[in-house]
Amino acid sequence: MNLNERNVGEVTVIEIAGRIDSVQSPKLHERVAALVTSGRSAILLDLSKVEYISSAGFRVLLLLARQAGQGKSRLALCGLSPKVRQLFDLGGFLDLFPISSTQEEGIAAAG
Amino acid sequence: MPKAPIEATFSNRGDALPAISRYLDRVGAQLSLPPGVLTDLRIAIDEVVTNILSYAWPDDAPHDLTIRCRLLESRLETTIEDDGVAYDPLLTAAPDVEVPLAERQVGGLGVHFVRNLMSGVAYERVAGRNRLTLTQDLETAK
Repeated sequence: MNLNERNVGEVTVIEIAGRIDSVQSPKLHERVAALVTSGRSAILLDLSKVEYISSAGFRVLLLLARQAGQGKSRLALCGLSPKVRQLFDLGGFLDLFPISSTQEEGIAAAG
Repeated sequence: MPKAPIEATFSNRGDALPAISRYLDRVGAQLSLPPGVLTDLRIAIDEVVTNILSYAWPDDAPHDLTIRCRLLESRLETTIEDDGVAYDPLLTAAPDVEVPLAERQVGGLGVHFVRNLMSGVAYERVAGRNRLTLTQDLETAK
């Protein structure tokens, strides 16, 4: 899994590539939790290059969403592939995050 | 013609999961699995093996788990065996996927994924070992 981060105005975009599995999930947690702690107002996770997310990855998304909700950050997602969308649907996670189709839409909605 | 099973054994010492990922690369290539089938298998194996590594061996001693994949006509059969404490993951209750964020739990989500991504899942306790058999129909695979 690779994380590629950049700032677009108020929004920090993190493009995630690869597998968000039990081995890689802690890395994602650490990176995004640090952003939330630092007070970034909007964080957009671009999942368009993610092959899949295991339950360990969903656990991390859940913890990050709670952490963001307690602080001043908004956490949003974009670019769900059909496979990733299927997993979100199976886990009942589609309703827990603002989700946009593209990164541009996500930035516009989050900014 | 059915190909020979591809089997590998992994220790609970060291990096089992990355080694298993490389094993699955090999399985996918040797059995010419469709990408979607291999991805679903990767997810299922990640869930099952993570559970085994976390809970199967409370004695903290060195142990092995064995994975075997074989192609049977139009389906892929994968078995995962360990000598840990008896544990049938199919008895795990499905998570409530309707509750709001604050009350959401992820316990049981892994098994929920395995059940839904595989065509079939069966558990047996055989000679002091847990054996989980995952089947995937290749004809219906996208």
